[in-house]
Amino acid sequence: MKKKKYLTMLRKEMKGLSPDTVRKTLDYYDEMISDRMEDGLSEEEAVSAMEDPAAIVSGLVREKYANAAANDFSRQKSGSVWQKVLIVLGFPLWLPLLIAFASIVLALFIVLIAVIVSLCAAEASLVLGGSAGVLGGLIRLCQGNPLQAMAIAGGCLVCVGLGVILFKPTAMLVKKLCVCMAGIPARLKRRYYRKAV
Amino acid sequence: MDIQLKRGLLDICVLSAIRTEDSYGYQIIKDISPHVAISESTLYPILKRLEEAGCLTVKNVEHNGRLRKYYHITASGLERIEEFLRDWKSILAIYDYISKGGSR
Repeated sequence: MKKKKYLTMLRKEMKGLSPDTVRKTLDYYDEMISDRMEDGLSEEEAVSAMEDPAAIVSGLVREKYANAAANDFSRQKSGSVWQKVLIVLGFPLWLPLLIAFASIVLALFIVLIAVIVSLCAAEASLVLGGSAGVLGGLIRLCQGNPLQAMAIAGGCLVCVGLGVILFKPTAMLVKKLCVCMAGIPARLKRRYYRKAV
Repeated sequence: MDIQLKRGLLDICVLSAIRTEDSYGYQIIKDISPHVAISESTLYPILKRLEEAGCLTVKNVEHNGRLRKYYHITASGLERIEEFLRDWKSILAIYDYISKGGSR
């Protein structure tokens, strides 16, 4: 395997880790392979001397949790008892707040979904309803009422036209709302959880 | 060898490898390998940990048109080696006690 391919595999395995960790790890293994090649090994031999990318990443994650556990242990010596007491005593306060927060997030999701659905429905009603109206106008024409037929068909053609004009902006808006909705969990995680590796 | 014991020993071995002069990853592996088995993936978290603990510093040096990281031991790293050597004497006393079956 070539170095470039190995580093690409390693990058893929590190999906989810912080950009700084990804960059430093790739630099490290790039340097290691280059040094082995400088030492006389072929590119394939140098790459095969490296560990499997999946094993490297699981090692990194293990190390991270080992360090976190060690830090927690040292922190526990001073503050854990008070923290536990505060958590237990603050139960009547933080539980309603937690429920309220979860409800707000849920409401936000429901509102966003409702907006997306109503936008799609409005667009569909303009195009489909307008098309059906044009068809209705043609039927009125066959029934021998040309003036009424023209009025219906004309009004409905305006609706279809509006539907066609608004299709692109609506699609863009719906797409942006979907991206915004999908990004909410990640934003909450970044805001309230510790930074990854 | 016990993983925790090996982990602690490897930290000291890495610091010893850069004690007299700055060195880079691959050279450190070549220096330590005759004494303790160590791979690239084992060395990487050790270097990271020692850097975070302030036992070594890193600088990029240009080498054959690319950047190579050189590791430099700090006063804290030197103190860590000294501390290990001091502790080892008491560990040897415990070893003696254990190897003699716990007898006086």
